[in-house]
Amino acid sequence: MEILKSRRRDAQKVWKEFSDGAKTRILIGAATCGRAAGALDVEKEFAKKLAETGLADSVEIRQTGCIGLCYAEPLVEIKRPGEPSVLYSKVKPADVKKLIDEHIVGGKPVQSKAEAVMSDAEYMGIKPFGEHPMVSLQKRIVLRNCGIIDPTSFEHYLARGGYEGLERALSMSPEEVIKEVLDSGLRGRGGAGFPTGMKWSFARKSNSDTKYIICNADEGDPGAFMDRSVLEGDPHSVIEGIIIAGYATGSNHAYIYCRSEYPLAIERLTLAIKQAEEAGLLKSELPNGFKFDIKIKKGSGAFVCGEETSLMASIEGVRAMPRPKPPFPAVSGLFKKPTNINNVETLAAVSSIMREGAAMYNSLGSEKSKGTKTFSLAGKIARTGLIEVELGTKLGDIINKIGGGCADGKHFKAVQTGGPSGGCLTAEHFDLPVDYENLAAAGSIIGSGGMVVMNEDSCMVEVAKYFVSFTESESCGKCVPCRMGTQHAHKILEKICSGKGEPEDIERLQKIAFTMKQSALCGLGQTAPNPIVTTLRYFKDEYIEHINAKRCPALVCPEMVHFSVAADKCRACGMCARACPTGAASGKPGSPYSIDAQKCISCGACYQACKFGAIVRQ
Amino acid sequence: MSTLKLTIDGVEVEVEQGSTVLQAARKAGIFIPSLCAHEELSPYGACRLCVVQIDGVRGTPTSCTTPATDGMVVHTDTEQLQIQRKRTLELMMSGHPSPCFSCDSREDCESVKKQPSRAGSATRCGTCSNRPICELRHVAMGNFERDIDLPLLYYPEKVERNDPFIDKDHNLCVLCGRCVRTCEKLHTNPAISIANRGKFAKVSSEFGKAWNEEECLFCGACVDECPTGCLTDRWSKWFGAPERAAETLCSMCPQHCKLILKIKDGKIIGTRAPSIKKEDAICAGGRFVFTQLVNTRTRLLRSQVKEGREQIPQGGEAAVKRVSEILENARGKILVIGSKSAYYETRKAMRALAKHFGAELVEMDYDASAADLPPDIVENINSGKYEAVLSFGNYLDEELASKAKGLIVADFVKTPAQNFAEVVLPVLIFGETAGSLFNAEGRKISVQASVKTSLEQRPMSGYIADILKPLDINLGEFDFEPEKLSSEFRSPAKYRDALPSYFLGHNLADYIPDLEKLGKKPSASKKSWKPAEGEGFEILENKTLVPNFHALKVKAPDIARHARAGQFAIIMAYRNSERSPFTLIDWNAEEGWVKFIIEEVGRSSAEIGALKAGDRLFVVSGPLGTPVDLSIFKPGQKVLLAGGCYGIGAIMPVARALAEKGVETTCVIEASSSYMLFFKKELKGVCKKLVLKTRDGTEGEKGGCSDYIAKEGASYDGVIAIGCVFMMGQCAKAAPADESKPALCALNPIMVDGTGMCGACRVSVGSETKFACVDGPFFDIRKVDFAELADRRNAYRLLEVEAMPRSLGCHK
Repeated sequence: MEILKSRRRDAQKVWKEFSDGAKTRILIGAATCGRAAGALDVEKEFAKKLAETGLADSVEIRQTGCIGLCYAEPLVEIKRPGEPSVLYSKVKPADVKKLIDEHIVGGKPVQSKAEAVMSDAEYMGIKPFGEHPMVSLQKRIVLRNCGIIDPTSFEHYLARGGYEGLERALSMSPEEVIKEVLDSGLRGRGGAGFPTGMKWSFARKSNSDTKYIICNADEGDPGAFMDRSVLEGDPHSVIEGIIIAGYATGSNHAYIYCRSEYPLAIERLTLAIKQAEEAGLLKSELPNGFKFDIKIKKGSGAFVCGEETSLMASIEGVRAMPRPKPPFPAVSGLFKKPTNINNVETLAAVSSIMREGAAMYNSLGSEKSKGTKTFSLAGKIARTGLIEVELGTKLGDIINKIGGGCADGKHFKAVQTGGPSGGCLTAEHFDLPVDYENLAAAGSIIGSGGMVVMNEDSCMVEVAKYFVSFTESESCGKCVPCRMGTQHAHKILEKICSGKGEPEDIERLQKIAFTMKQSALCGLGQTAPNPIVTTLRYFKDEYIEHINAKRCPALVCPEMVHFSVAADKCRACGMCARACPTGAASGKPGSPYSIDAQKCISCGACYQACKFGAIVRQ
Repeated sequence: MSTLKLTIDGVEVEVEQGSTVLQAARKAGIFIPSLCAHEELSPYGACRLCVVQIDGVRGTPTSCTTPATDGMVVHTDTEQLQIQRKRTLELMMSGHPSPCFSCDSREDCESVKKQPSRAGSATRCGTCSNRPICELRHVAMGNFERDIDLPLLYYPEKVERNDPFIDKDHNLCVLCGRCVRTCEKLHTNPAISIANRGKFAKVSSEFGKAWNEEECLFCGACVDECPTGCLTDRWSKWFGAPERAAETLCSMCPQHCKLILKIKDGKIIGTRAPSIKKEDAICAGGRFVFTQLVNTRTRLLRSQVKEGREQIPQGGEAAVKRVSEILENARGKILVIGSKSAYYETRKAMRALAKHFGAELVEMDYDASAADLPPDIVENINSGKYEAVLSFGNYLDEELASKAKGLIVADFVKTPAQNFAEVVLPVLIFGETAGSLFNAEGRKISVQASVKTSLEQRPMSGYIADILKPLDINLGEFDFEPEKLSSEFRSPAKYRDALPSYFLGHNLADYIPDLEKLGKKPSASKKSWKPAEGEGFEILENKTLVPNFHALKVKAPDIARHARAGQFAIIMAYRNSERSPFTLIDWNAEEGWVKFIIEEVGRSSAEIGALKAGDRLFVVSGPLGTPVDLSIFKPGQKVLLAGGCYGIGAIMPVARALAEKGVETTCVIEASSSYMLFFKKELKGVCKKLVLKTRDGTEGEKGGCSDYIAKEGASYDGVIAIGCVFMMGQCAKAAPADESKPALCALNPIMVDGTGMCGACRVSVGSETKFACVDGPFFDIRKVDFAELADRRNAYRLLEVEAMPRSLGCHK
């Protein structure tokens, strides 16, 4: 495209300067995950120490998005001119001086902190990033820029092939673009897995002078952060996808519906939109006479707004409640106009598909689930973080090879996929290829890609209770099965967890689950019982143990766990008494401590506090 | 419009394009249960009852939201759908106080209690004003089955009575969204929406404020569309289902909106708009004020004619004759005050009357009061220029009326000014009488008389016709062009501040206290009884035990000193209250207090229930009645005490007295549902064994006390049952036949004096007539004629409804 030609030339220069320039460069992983781990303090410390040593002018500090190794945050890359960039993990402000002295000044990477080298070859004994156990099995398409570029730089995105997909799309007819997306096999990454190209063709066919594209960035599943990372780390990939979708469907306006809990994502998006407008990609007429604009609409964090009809209601400024379909959004959506809604990851994938061609994407994945999918690994897994793998990758490879199994050598028990709408899978599913069909057959869903790992310390009844309490409080309350079903299911699970369960409760839960699945109005209600159904399918014995033996096998449910002190192990250090919130744990120096069962609320604080394993749970 | 054909349960139906599957099924005469669906409202899909299966369509879509398509094959009653509906209904009912549905005795109970008791809040169908017209009940009836066996979720704090005219009991709400959709459809600025999420979701105005602080116009359409008793018309809800409807026009403002009257027993018990279309919208005046005004307790019923210094009821003919005489004598010196709000026929007749008698005619505007009487007219009255003044409506205040000579007042309610009149004529208003009015387009509309005249009330035009009849006047000459609706006219159906304040010169707020909440000021503050220092009985505590049940602790040292188990006292809340008996539950002679359980069932109990600690009761007289004869039980014997509703409290003193005597008691108590059981701890403290029964099985065993008596009664040395008439009747049938063992009940008929003088409490026990107040309240349960007792208690049903304190507890 003419308007991008000169920008691309400049971009190459800028990118060269950034990635292999004459200055030493420090790259801070400063997405929300890095910030939460203290990345900004580390950045400040670098600036301070560099100033103190008079290096401030010769060393450049830049921020980047999340590279996916969240467990190892804060992540810092240091690159000296002509040398490969070294990725350091778990960098604390206290480490900064050593990194400056030894690596930046001394030229010797700090081996103890080095996680990988950002090149193809080993460097001074440090393994390449591509060989990192968390990375080697990944196929990064949507995440290809995350943690690599400065997300605030339009040039960085351009230099790495950005907007080439749009250029290619604009050289084709909208129908050809839709065919290309159809051929790629891309399916909606928000959870439903509906073929994206088909969805676009419906919107294309609707006749209207006004049509809308909505980018659903209302990522609400607990433990899911794929969309946030993409928006924070590579916002232009989403914007490019939105413009392509707009062109293909014949739309003229777009909204990005993003939760206000993602302030950094909104900041990055706002900047990216401005850059795209300045570059003439938005609000200006493109070749073919196509003109398009994008607005950001902040949501206030209601899970139900992830449901498309609620989301549209929210944009319209009315109460976010799902409405029945038909009419489908492609016929009558936002402001009663034809509307196409795609998830962040879907749109980001579109950019790559249009750039590289459908064949590339279609060659990846399994038979019916093509391409790649991002997953967020969370919970009791050793390597929490954000990954992207081909669909069809075995669950065991994701959990054990990429995720490193459970943390602290504990035994893996289950993984919840698909958030509160999904279900749990067990070790017997390690050979299961993770794709839409196989997960559905196992009673779960891919959903938006959250994976929450549970280990031997997790009570599966409690896990089900947690997810149901989430959907209970997030249910909009409109339809009866969801509003009342979640309340009763939560109450029954609470009852079981507090040792008051009856054998009939299992059947009650199953009946409620059936009714919700069959009769609820929207996806939230229909899928809300999934955690109950799957835990009942794979961990029924735990329910029965709670109900019949009044015992929580994982020793989690407070009312069924009793704490005492093993006198032979107690060193009378008093840590348990200090941690105890009710004064149940007490004692005197010299003799073993004890726990007053009357005062004990089974919170487990003493168990956590004791360094000698003297607190006994049973 | 083109049509399409589809097959529903094997029946081929042809419907118009755009119809839903539900509409098609209705057309084919196939019943699909539904609640949120409404012909005039957009599809909503919340209740999930109307699910169907469609060949080739995934899952079970709701028929109310699914457009019918050509060739569609629909199944409405498969086994799976039945299961889904049954469970969805159970889920819905688990959030609605529905114990009556799971009660095995519901039909028997409802045949005895033909109307719900008028309790403060609806804890079940039996205390819900909406029972006679409830759509939810209609859908659930016969289909409700406890399959999942869910507990009931009930929250007493969900009742809201803070708005004018409308009571809101969110426990009854099933969130069908009809009210919200109605409001959105009728009003440019809808007042209500659904607020909060999930279990906290409720119909609410912005930020949960009172509706009168918001845009609400109180058109009442939401109340009329509510399928449950959640939104109710506070004033009229207890009248039950209307027998018929009639169309009329409202004449409170020149808009002359069309209204549908709800009529029962010849009374107008309510109104509503003809439809939920924007053009048919009405205002709070038409929807609420209208009915309350027509039913004002101070309606004029008889004609009065002054004889000497006193007004005497003389019958309509005599009154008209007297009016004619006065007018004839004052010819040429007469003032006639009419109203533009009167029917066209009345206004025409008044013109004729004025012409014939040479009178000056003043027609007061809509919404005019006595203060709007032109100054020159006031001056003329004061100066005695007129020999006769005929006023249709309340346009002369007391002072002016006292100066007017030959005063004739035609009106519909009593006023102090009428005391100065020579003749007072009771008139009919609104749709009570036939006539014609002009609609907004200026078209003349005839209105039929919709109710029967009571006593001597007549239409105003009727009186004038009688006066003019002997004079042979052609009324046709007096046709006139009625006023056009001014372009500046602001309809109260659209603007709340345009709501009229006056009708026929009467300040509406004087008759309808709720109007104060809409900014209308009554003329003078009503005088309410305030006990003088030291007068009355101080309430020390009023604790709500469960909804509608109050534990009332009252300072009454004399009663406390003499009370014995089984006795009662008569309580009057105010000077003009009914005298009602309440069992003495507990007392302390040293501290000088007594305790009652007050169950709200009607006016008197509601008045008492609304009082707070520090307030005073006008009368507490007692102890009355014969104490329970404890001598019939010996120490070591076993006695079964059964209590239901207020009886749970009433068995308490008996249990205590028996325990003191060394008699071993088992208390079996029943309530409709778990959330209505009380005194569990208290009773455990005085009895050997406590057995819980709930009618819906949510706590203890399912069923009532009578089940336990039938099963275990014979193993006891005696049985005492206290509760409602129905419960005691059931216990009577279950009581052991062995007459050597005592089986007692404590009766609760209507009482007045409580000392055996009035006879209101007459009951038949065996072949004898007894006075419950002095011979009782304890009688052999096996001998009481409970059917007669139930009939006698129902004797004042309509009066009790009319006497309900409509604004109690709503004007804090």
